[in-house]
Amino acid sequence: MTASALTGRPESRSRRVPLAGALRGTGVAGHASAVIIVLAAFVAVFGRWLAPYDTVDPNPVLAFVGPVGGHPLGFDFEGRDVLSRLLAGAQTSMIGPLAVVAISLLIGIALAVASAWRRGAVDATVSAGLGIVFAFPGILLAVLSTAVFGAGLPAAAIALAVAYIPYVARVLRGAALKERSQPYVAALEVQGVSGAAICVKHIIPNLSSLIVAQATIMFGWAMVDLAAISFLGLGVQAPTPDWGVMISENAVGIQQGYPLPALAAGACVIIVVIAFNVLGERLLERSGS
Amino acid sequence: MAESSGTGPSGGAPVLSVARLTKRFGEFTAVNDVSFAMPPGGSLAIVGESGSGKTTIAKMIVGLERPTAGTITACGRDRSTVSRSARERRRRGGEVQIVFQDPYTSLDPRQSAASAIDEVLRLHHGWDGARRAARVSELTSLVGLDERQATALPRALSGGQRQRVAIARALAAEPRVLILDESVAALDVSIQAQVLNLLADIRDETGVSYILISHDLAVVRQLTDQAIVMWRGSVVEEGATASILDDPRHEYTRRLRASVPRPGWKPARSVGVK
Amino acid sequence: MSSPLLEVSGLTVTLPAGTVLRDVSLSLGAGEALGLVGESGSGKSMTVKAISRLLPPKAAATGSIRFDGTEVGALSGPALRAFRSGVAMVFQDPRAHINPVRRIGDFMTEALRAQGVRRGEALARAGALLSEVGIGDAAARLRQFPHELSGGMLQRVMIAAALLTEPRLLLADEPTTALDVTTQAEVMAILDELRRERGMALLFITHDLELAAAICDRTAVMYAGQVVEVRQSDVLHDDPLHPYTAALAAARPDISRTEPRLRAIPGRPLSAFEAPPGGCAFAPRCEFAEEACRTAAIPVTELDGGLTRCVRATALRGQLAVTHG
Repeated sequence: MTASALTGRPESRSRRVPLAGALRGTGVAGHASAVIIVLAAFVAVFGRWLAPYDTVDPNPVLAFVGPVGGHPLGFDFEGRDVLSRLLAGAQTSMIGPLAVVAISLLIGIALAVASAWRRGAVDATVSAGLGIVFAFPGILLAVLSTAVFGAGLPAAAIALAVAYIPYVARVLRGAALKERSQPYVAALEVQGVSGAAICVKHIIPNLSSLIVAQATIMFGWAMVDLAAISFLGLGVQAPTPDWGVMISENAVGIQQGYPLPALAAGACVIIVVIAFNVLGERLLERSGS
Repeated sequence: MAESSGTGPSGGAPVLSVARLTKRFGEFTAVNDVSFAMPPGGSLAIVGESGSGKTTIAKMIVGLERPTAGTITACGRDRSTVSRSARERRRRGGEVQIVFQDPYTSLDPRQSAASAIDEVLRLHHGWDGARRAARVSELTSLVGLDERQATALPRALSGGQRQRVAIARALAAEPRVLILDESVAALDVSIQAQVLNLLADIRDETGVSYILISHDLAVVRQLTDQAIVMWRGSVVEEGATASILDDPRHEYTRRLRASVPRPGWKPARSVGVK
Repeated sequence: MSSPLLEVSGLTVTLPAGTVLRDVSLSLGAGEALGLVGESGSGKSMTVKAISRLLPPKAAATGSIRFDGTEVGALSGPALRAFRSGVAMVFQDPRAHINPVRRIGDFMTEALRAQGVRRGEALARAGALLSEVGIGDAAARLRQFPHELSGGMLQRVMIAAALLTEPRLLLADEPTTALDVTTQAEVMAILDELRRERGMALLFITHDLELAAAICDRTAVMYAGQVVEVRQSDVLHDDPLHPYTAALAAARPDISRTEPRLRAIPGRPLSAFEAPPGGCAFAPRCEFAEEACRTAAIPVTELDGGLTRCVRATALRGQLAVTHG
């Protein structure tokens, strides 16, 4: 039966969605989160040059000195300006999650769409394999991987990406199966369009709003996980500024009555992660999943 | 009973024929030993209700299902088995095309009509952009879409307009046979009339043959010359559409005919309980 | 029966998107059947939702809907529950309106048991009604789950369930649209028979003019959120009062004749919120439209026992059926 009175009228919105339109329907919280994310990205790119003071050389005399003129957040355990370290640290704190999301999406989408397209034995095998990987918590895989490949961001990020693949694949497989069963896909098959072309040119683009929403949420999770891994000393290594590392190396200050450096780094992580989570959830709602 | 010989006025070979077509899903037989032939430029209705097997036949003809037994021949070539190559799939696409029932899910929501038609043209021909654009324009005019509608996304189009896009996309492959799988069933009465007229015009202009899958006997009468009536997977009656409808022989056809609302019609209960 | 069982007057419903019903008036006497016919956007479903108090949350309704003399919009609490058992509804898709994890018997007897009827008694009544709608072996059916029944059978269950509370009015919103045509004929016959037996009033919504005429004494035709014609069903097809009704009837292919071309109405059906504020909403597509049709608001006029919203109705009398015969 045709559309009801409410939807029978064709919409006449223009096809070019302006940037503000990309955030339409996400509410005040969504817009605010987007602002925070943009700021964080900006700092991630330019942080090193924005930092007013040196971020690497230790200056023991100034260790844990509180805020003074020109140093609003004081000094860390090695006497370095906290604000500068935070600005410079944004980069590794955000590049790691970016790599994790990019790798897990790429592989996860491929596996999900291939399973949904071929169904049958291929789907069953992939699902079983992913089920095994799913059983491993991300951090455990990261610990294993650093034990094998040595500590450092790349090993940790790749391990985490592998841990996230099953999640991505599971979410997208369901949506891909639904798209695959739509008549327009059958129409393309009847035309003689190849399976690969249908998946890449039609099915995946129709999953894009779901993919963007998931990527946003996962970025937040990856950030927390990587910060934890760095906190454990397995990810980014000191003296590289990184928020996770900063929490760990300045943690001793909390007991000694100098909580600011550690808390400031923690706050940065929390604020950015929440922003990604909130925006991701709003986008997910909007994509109709 | 008029038997379709499958040859057209010029006596040419049938453009589509199926022989002893059968489909079983495990224990269940969806299509049982069905045979028919369609002359070039002809129009055949496959009439039935749910469970009759009519949609399964359509799917087998276009390759979305594989027959358990029997043969399907289109344009002189056998297509009973899965195509072996991409080229073969494309060639079959250029022989038989299909328009589905639901206008709201039979178009890619992210593709405009022009883009969808262009994709089909690129697939089947090695033309340059200008020639393709000209053909897109011809096809959209043929189905009665204006410039705005041709470049709009499906969500900006009504059900009837979307079906026109689906028809244009199917015709872009220049098929000899177009299968209409309940293609007007989901449309408002006044729009259905427009699309039926359009389909008749297209047949006059391009000489394409139709296979109309439908449960709506009035639509079947309007659009087709020949018909086969299906019930639970088997053909129970076949012949010229007009004579089947004016003088149904089989009990099921009679019951079907008697169930169609028309001026002065009163529904009657069948005897006994189910 | 002097006062009608159901009286809708000047019903106007607006949503944030726009007006969906404009000055709709209908009346239905006890035991009478009225068909409500329209295409997409005509407002027929919205009218039924208004009557059964199932409008979407953001809808604003003005005008009056009276059931048995009482204003429906003002009901609440026990009075509303009494209204719900007096007015039953059958929807288009039975599977969307039944809980798939509960047995048929539980579903059917729920309303009765809420009224205090004992379970055994309620099941007996349900079984009896299942037999009336032509479902044999009622005892077994009552124990089955919805997925075990076909669409046609499930719709008959819905009808039986609706009749269990012995309603005085049945609202049926496209109850047979999703069914095969032979099943439709069966279900329509059942509806007709049971309605007459019980002296129940019926408001039957459909897009099919002939289907409505089959079991309804009168038929109302809606277009763009308004009622444009109300007429005795047996004369509606051959002697319509409104050009839209005539055009709708003519657009349908004839099962007994092959015509070279159908008389299609140009353009497409308008929804209420696309309709211009002044003038007839159908004028742009109407072959009889004149200047007067486009300017002022068109009132409803009475003509030959029917109602029509056409200023040229008297002038066009007798011409409509001839042109679209």
